[in-house]
Amino acid sequence: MTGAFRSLVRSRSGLLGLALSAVVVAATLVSLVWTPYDPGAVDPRASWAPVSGAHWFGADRLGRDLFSLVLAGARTTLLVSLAATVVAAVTGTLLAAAAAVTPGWVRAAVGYGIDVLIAFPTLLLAMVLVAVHGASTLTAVLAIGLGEGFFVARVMRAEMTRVLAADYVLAARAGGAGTWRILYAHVLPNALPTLTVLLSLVMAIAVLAEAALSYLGYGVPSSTPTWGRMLHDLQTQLTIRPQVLVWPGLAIVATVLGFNLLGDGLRDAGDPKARRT
Amino acid sequence: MRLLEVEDLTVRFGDSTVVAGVRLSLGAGERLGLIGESGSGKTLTALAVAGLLPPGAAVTGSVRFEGSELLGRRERAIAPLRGAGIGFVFQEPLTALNPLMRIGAQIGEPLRIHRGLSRRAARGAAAELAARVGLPDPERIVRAYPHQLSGGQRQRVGIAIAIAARPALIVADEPTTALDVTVQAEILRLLTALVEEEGSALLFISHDLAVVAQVSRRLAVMRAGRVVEEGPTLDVLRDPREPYTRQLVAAARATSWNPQETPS
Amino acid sequence: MTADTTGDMTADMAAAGPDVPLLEAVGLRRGYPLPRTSLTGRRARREAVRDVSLRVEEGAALGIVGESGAGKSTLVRLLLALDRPDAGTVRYRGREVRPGRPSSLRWFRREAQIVLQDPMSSLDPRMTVARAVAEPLRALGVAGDRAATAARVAEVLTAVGLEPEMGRRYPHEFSGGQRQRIAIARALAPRPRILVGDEPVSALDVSVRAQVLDLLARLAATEGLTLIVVSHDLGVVRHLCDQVLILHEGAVAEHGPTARVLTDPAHPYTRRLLDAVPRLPV
Repeated sequence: MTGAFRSLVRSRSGLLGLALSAVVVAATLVSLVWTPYDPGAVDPRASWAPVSGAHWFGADRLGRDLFSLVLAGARTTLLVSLAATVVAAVTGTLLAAAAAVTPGWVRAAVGYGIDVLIAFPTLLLAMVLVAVHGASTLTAVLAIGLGEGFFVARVMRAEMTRVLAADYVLAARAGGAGTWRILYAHVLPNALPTLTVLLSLVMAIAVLAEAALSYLGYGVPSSTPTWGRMLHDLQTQLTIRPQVLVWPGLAIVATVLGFNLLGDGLRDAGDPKARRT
Repeated sequence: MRLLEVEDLTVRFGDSTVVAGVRLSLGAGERLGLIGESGSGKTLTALAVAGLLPPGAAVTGSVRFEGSELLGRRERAIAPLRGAGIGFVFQEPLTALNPLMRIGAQIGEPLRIHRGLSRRAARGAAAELAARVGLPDPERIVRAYPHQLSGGQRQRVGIAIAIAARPALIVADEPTTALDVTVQAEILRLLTALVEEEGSALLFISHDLAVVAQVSRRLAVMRAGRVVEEGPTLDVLRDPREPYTRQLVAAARATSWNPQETPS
Repeated sequence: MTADTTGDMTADMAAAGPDVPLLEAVGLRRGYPLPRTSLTGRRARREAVRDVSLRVEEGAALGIVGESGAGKSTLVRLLLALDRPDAGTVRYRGREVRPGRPSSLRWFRREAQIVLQDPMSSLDPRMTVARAVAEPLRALGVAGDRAATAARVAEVLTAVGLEPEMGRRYPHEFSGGQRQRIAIARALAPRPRILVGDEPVSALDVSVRAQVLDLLARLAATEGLTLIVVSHDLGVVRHLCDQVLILHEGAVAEHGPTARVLTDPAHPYTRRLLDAVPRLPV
């Protein structure tokens, strides 16, 4: 994989993606040990404090330090989007593999099942989960992860079907390879570029979905700072002091862009044809 | 004045030179076969002649058609020549046809462009052309779509489009490579008969010596972007001068088949 | 499991007979449903192979010739149990070859291997050459340990005229002819008795074509392989095969010694095919 890493770093957009993602991860790690202020600490004297040495990003109405909130928000946002992406990747790939390699009616049933599940809105799924388990980080992860997982399954089913029709799969079958070997040795590696790009997209969507769910009250508990909740709390200021909205907005844009560029970069880096030896 | 004169034609993509100083000439009514293996630059030479090179190709040299220089001319100045002066038959008849357009409209298109025919007149002419290239039930087939035709029928459509505006030169790029042997034989017969009737010149590109030998009187052998040997077809086949041509002819003789020879 | 035991029984019974061909097909049929043209109507079927029977003796070389749509590829897939026939059976040394679970077919895969037409697509772009060639060895459990696998990979790569060190590279780093050599090496790796080529040189340049044909002929001789070569090109078949089977619209038009069929064709379709072949002026 060293060759793959080298070619990732060599491409300009791949490097930018890697850098942006690294900044987000670093912010998350830093927030675990240090934030300038307690992100929940209310300070009436600092209400709407401007950008200054004391408050790098300014403060909100309650005088909470925005920089501390953005740092702490990275934690939840990254956790939820990463976990949701893993859930989406696992459910999506398993469903797609089941739909691509199982014989006859099972294949048709799984295929139709995916189509039906795709039509099931993530929001509705979240509401059902909240009704059963109450709003929690886990609920948000499952709702986003499963909802996106069905979407991943749909795309991956088509991709795996394409790879299964390739001559090298026929050659492998003629060489005596069984279904499992074909799946892990041929289908997964060749479907991986699509999965990588898909997952970077899913991760980006998950950041936005978490923001939306938190905004509606179906996501993480209201005491936990997230970028979505910050946007929600600050939106009334859009016409009065728009500069406060810039920070969580910028954080979301940087994360989404970083993941997307990293995904594209990884796709190209994993391709032996793009790698020059 | 020769019909087509290509001199020192060079085509580059970035740093790589794919056609390097090609020189060809073709008189009215002559038939020239251009042979080479994949990567020899034969297709790009053909495309350069028709002014159809893909964007990104840097061309130098000279391509004169009926005495006037084609290279360096603007797209707008070359477009009227295509179809009317030079007809092009493509290798892959399925992808060369527009899947959403009826056969008749596609055959009639060059006539509407170059002869200014009305839609109705073009449709009538298309049916006539369809009959000329041996398509069955021409009146019905002009209303069909490409996917409803067999590979051989599609190539007949391709030929009908190429000859529609009665060009002085027909460039055929591997026109039978995608077809079965029996269909290939029919298409080659059709192509040579039409070229004969129309008195057009033919530039026939192929990787298959036996096929080229059937349609062309002269042969140019291309390798790595250059014409390495040129001469009358039979001379080149019987007495190749260049080592590469000798190798090519030997390979072709080894795998081709003649009824006179006793099978090994 | 039942398939295996009945298979063994058949093998035992058949081994007694003196006149058992290496590979035999009886009454093979295979059709495919065409795409629906209406929601309610019956789906039409296209019969790709209709009632094909053939025998291949050990050490022989059979050419299967036909044009596109003649059913060549379907027939090859049926012969190698890569597809299930609607009717008919395939026997190897008298033992029935039943398409089914890969594990129940392993014995047959060790005996018969295939080289496909297009080496650009028949090699996994994400697998090194050595891994690709080793795959049948691993899948069939032939080679044993890592060292033995590596040794066999090097051996077959050398046999097809490549350097063993080339195994570390990826398929896209090779030319078409080299790639087809790799595909041949992969097929040879588990020491099969039958090598099937599905248009093995059609995607190659003329000069390379002759080299690959020579390689196949040489391997057939040195390894004692039985060849089945599918081609639309009579020249290829004449070059390699002593027997030829002409396939037309899914059925056998003619089957016999190559010399006889090509000089004195009995079937009108064979004659039409022979007339159509472009000839080099002598």
